[in-house]
Amino acid sequence: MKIESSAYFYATNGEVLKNLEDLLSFLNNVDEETFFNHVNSEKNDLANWTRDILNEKRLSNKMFKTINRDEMAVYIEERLEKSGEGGVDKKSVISKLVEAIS
Amino acid sequence: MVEGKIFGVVALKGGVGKTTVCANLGTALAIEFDKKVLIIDANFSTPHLGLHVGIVNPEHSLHKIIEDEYSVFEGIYEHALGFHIIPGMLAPEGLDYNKLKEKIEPLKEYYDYILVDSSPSLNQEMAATMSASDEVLVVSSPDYPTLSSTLHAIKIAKEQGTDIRGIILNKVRKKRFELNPKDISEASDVKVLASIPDEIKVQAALAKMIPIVSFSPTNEVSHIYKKLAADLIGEKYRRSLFGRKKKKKVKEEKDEKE
Repeated sequence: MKIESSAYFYATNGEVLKNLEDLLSFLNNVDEETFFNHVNSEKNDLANWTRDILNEKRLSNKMFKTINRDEMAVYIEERLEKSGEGGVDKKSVISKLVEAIS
Repeated sequence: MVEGKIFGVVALKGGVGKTTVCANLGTALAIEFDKKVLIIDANFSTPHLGLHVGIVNPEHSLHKIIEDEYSVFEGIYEHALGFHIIPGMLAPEGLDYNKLKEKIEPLKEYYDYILVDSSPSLNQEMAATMSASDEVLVVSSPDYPTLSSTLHAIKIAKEQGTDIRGIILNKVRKKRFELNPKDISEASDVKVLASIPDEIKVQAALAKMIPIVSFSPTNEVSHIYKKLAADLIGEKYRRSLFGRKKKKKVKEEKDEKE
């Protein structure tokens, strides 16, 4: 789904998010301070954006229930995998690599 | 007299940015934290550290020090950015890489930090760097082939009994298809110290043969290098708007010397 640039998520560290993939990458890489600027006990900008702009109501409901970024990332990964946008099973590849080298 | 620390900068795969990391960390430690820093090109088969800092065809190089052609002190260049460097040149076959440690160990008395840029191949050159280092920094990038190489490098360091300070994740594009720091940290059981974005300005800096920390001090990548340098030496780093002033100061000092 394409959205207007005015509806992009503009994070306080300058990152611009346009879709769920960007959001997942943001959660996996962002520093704690920036994350806390958007998600804390008083607000959850990421869940709001996911609900209001991306129209992902079920996903946003899960996101509203946590302030843990890893948990949020798992929800988004699950959503992407369900929609067929997931790729190879990353964890399986990594564990095979670890096994091969150890 | 100081008791310095030797960091080996290693990667078991070419192209991940090991030399870029070495040059920029050295620059950050010198110009941002006023440390006495020596960077050494111990990549004997593909020595490129000099090209990252404006040294194209050095008269002196590390392999000649190892061959006892002159003393280690005679092979040191003072760089305008504040650090010192022993550049490398293509080494002849049969060089005794094991002498690296005995040659650079005494320099710990004179430098706060010595960064050794290693060979990207699993060979005696890399083993020599690991053995000469107090701690190693493993440079990686967020893809499966590099993760595989990173796991190998970590395994070798552990087998050699060299302490691993952490992984520096370079060329990060923050794409979903990439491995993320958590994946890499969990797979390797080693902390990811920094994620450095794949930023075009790094290439622009390389074209000018100036580390990005000096070329573009307020760039995000430069801030990350300075934060990483601070973390390595147990100091605090606060982003400053005066990066350019520091660069200007360095330039003024360079002009004075000339």
